[in-house]
Amino acid sequence: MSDYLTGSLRIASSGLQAESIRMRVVSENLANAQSTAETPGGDPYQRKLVSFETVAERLSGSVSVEVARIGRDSTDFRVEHNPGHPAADADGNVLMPNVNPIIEMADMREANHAYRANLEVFTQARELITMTIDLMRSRR
Amino acid sequence: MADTGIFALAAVHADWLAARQTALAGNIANANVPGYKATDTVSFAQYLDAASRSASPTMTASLAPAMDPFVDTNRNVAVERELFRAAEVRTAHGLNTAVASSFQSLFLAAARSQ
Repeated sequence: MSDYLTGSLRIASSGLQAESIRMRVVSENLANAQSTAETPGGDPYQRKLVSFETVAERLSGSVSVEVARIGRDSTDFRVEHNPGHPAADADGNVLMPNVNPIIEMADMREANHAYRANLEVFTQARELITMTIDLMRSRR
Repeated sequence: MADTGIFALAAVHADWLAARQTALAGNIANANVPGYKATDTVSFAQYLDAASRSASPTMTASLAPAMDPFVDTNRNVAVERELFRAAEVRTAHGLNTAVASSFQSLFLAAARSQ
């Protein structure tokens, strides 16, 4: 079996893995969209961002993908006036996480599409391998 | 029986198709990497040419890879385009294995009739 087809499987699975990490981070952001600080006036949950990186695939000579790092979104926090909140500062303002659910939804959609495309490639590479192996079947 | 070289040709073609599959797997996996440029493969004519040049006189296709089939392009990845190419690879590989196996049955039938 050529290294190309198994390499193709490895590359597609690296894509699946990277996209699933992205999906996990999206769900982390959404789950913490309302997570404020524990102490009055403290910083709330800061949105996480995934960055991808291209990695050389040794055996096949092509490229796979990897999550380079999970960074933090440095945009400003939302400020809500809610004096009764445990995390409110002296002026009664509460800092809310910089998570925008609509952006997270769009991100999730994109991760979903990319995951599907990688899955498609994986399935097809498997199919090509099966077709090649089938050549060795005895026939009369 | 005359050596038609059909199996060697099929092997080189299967190898080239597999390289194409790998290239598009890399493109799809890296579709969301900023600044990533799509990888393509050389044409089959070029690949076959390199394969037959590197082969020994008794063997049309060598086991070692004939050449590095990947070439860099300057365009961004379009997932639709890659999936279209994946379908092409699938069809061509199906045809390739079908031709190889029907030639095999042909050879077997000829061997049996002797």
